[in-house]
Amino acid sequence: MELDGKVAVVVGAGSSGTENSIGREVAMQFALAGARVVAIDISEDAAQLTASLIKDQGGEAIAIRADASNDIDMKDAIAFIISTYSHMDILHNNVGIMNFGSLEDIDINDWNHINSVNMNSVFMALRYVVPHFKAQRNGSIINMSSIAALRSTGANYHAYSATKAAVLGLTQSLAIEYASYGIRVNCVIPGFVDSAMMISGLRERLEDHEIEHFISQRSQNIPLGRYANPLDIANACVFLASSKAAYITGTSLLVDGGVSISIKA
Amino acid sequence: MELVGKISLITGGSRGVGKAIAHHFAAHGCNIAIVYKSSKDEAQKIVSQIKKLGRNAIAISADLRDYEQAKSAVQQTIDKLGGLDILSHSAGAQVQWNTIRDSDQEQWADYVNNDLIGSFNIFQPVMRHMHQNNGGRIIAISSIAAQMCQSRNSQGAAAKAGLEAMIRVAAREEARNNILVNGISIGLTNTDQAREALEQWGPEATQKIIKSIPLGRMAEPEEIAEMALFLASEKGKYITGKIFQVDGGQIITG
Repeated sequence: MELDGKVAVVVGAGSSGTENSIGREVAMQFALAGARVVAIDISEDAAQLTASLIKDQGGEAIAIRADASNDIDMKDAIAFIISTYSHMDILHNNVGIMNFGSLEDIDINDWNHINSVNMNSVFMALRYVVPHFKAQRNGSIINMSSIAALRSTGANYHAYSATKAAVLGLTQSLAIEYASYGIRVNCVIPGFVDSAMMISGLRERLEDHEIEHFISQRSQNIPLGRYANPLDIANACVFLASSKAAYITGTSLLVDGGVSISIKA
Repeated sequence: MELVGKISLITGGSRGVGKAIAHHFAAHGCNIAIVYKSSKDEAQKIVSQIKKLGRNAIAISADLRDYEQAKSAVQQTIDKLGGLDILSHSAGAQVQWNTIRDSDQEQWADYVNNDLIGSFNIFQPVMRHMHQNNGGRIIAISSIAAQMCQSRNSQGAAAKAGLEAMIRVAAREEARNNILVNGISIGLTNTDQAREALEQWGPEATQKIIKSIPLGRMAEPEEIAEMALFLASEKGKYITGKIFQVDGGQIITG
């Protein structure tokens, strides 16, 4: 299998709701491809659930509770992984939160919080994982951006858009810095995804009865006529993590059903 | 085995990237029509290798500059293999490296005619067929030249930028008909064509170019074929209208 013998760390591997999430699906697909998965999440229960779902399907996984934007938490988490497996091969940074509001109304604490969670989570994981990748002269990093980094989606989640664009920049600059060590750094850019995060975002802005209508309206504006499911996104992550993508670095895989080439979206 | 029972027409299938895609798709269960312009022996050899795997394969001679020949290649594929699910368009002409001031107008026009208009000539009959047959996948090989602004490569840049625009428009037009259209933008790849070019440029220039690639080496054609397989497979079913780089990081260093 594509990821046999690999140790894959998924940061943000839980789900913020009862629905599936990209992070959880990526963790599951890494495991199905043969990897031993480390599921990291700020919620102990969410991380444990992902790990147990993987074990239920016959895979190998451990769960770690950590605040991905916290320096000490991530330092400890990565040290624990190294002491357990003695190496790691794949890092998937999937943490992301959003809130809504016009620029004038944004509370500075909220702004700083979103920036910290979405940006520092990527930075902290990289900070402690990259030295190991560098020493073993091998490693694949997959960051999660968003269609919101490329264009307005109509939702006013400004900090989210800004931080997801920052992830693209960081992906490119790191890809160049570490290419000579055999470390590949890439990004996946999902379009609209049927996930816990999407649903909770809509619940903040719409009444329950409006949500279904909103989703069906928007689906009509997606060239392929539907939202992505988390598996559509996870497939791209598995591909980038595998040796099939050995010559791919510094790039982004857009998985959006054609939204970004459509003027209506 | 990700393409069991599918049928793929592969332009430029007798050499380089197209050849690697033909072998890779066949290894994953796909039946193959190799469309070639001049390398008949090579094309026949690939056909017999693919047949040994138990797949159906044919070789078709066609010059894509001629619309009727392109159309006929599509029809022959449908008639002889029983359909057409995937177009892998990897045919391309050899660029003549010249500044715009020094370029020969006729050669420039011929290149674009070959590369860009040839792409239209194969896209249209394939899309008409796919439109009547519940969709399909189109994967076209482009070049990072489309975005890189290399001096002396106006023809390669212009033709591939045109191809990339056509890919996006085709994807937009046909998404609801389940025809998914994407491109793979390649950098320096270890093919006959690239080796010829490097030989012309000499060992010093070759070293310099390879050193400038972040991953420090050329791509192997098989690595491009992996991306083509991903886009042609079930795993790529939410991806359309995109150009993906398999370039060892070259494009972000510019």
